Amino acid sequence: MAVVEVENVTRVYEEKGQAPSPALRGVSLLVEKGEFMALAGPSGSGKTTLLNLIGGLDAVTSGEVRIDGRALGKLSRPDLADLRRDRIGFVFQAYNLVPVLTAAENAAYVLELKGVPAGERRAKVKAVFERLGLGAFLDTRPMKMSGGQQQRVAVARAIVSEPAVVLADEPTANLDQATGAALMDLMRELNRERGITFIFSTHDPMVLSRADRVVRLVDGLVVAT
Amino acid sequence: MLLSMSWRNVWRNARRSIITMTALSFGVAGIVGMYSYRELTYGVMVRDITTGLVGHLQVHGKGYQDAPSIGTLVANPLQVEAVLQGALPGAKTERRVIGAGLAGSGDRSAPVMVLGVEPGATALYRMSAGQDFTGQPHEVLIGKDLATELDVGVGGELVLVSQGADGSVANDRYVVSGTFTSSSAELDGTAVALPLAEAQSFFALGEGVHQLVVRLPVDREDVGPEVNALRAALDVKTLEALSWTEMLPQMKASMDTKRRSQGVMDFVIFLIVGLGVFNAMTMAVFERTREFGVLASLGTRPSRILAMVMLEAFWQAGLAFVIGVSLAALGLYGWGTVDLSAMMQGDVMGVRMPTKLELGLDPRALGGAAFTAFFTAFAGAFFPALRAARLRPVEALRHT
Repeated sequence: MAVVEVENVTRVYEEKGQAPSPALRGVSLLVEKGEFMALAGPSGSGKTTLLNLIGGLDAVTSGEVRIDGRALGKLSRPDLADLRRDRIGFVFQAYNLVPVLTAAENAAYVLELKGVPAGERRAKVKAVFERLGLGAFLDTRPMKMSGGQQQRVAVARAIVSEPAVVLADEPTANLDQATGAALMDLMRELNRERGITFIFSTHDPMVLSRADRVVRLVDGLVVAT
Repeated sequence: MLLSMSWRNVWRNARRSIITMTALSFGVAGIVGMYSYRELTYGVMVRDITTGLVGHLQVHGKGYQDAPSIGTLVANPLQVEAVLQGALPGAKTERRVIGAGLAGSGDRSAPVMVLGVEPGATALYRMSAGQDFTGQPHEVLIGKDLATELDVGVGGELVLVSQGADGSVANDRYVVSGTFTSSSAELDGTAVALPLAEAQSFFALGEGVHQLVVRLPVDREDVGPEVNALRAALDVKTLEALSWTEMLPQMKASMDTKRRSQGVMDFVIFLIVGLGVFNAMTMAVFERTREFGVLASLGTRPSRILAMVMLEAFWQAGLAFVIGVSLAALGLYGWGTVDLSAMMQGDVMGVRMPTKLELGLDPRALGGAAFTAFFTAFAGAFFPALRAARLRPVEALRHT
């Protein structure tokens, strides 16, 4: 069963006084549950735009995106927020941890949004942190952690609520080769252990080599899958 | 987590938050301090009014307030007192006769206000020399300043001349048993007090009195409900019941006008502070635009983002309120007693202005100050908070 359905999606950016700029031009894509899939392509090819549309962070110009069969275009802003909370995890290139929260609090944030009791939150986060080698950093603030540690916290935040799909936008771009490879191996293991679907955008050959499937985008079009 | 997150966000840019809270704190301190000072002054004035010449309420013969006349009487004051006790349980009453006359002593004379008071029951005066009524015939007390003017002291002789209610000439000779001061400079300079029965006899009033002065068990400014209760119980065809605010309308209007002026000043203070809060919160939201995008992408509803920013304003207003009230209390209690004698002398609208004031915190100031501080903070934070809540995640995430 497809977790993500992208159907003939276009996204055109229109800035006042400038010519319309198409970022995606009729992209269609099905992502099955448990896939470990990469979106590849050069800068400006539409990878991040497609991830944003799948995550409900942006709205299509035409076409339709469905998560678990629910058309995102028909959801209100609060409903979209709920869908992201319940079904989607995000890992950003720049980690984007909340600086005023500890590592554990960052990871527990989505669980708190879902109304998971504090004790259960703490237990789940601790288990994930142990699994990701972050056991010693539960109460550490992000600014005191290395890039690789912060990105692992971001991964913990994305998976701790057991979403249907994790969207990772160039997750290794700010990491050195070894740390990036370790992170990809970790995500791969989580994919296999927990059956979480991963979609990540990248142009890093190391990342691409670990994907089950690579969807190549050029100038807003899928050119290979 | 929302509470702790918002609390920690307050301290992300501590300098900015402290500046914002300082402005709010001084606003709160100013409001509490000025309110307390003003209301304490009014409290002393109202206390002097209600415990002195005027009382909380008065009952007169119909029309006496508008056109005081020696013949406009409460003809049966004891019956009226009984009715009054039923309508206002716990209230104290004082019968009083008031007339005009001429007082002479030796070769000096002066126009005077002749007061007939109930010996031992009146709080109208405090003895400054001699003694209060002893029950001897032809005793008289006179205001301290009048005694000076007439050059008469304790044991001296005073002749009073006036006109009785029946048109007869009223005159008699009295012995000064004491001099007094009161809550009114006018009384000190013009009043002669006789025992009630003596005054009724002097003015040929029979059992009648001009005023039944009513003092309620609890001292307060607004006595509207009590005066209404009294009117309902009295025969309003022959009697009138008036509150002190109706008898001294200019005084009440002056107090209310000053309160409104203060309200306008409070509004201006907090408008300025509110703009400061707005500016600070706008900056805070702008700087954290990307973070709001992250929170939205994690599934935070717009309403929660709005609540988080508003909570940041709440924390700042709360802290500023506590600090502001503490500053005001320190100032007021630290100052202690204020000597107003150089600023306020004599009567204003028949009421002696307080010459010294024991400063303190008026608890009634806290509600208004809290409302103003929180309202200002919320008003200043609302639009930045709304902006944060309405950010489109994808645009917020692009923000650098």
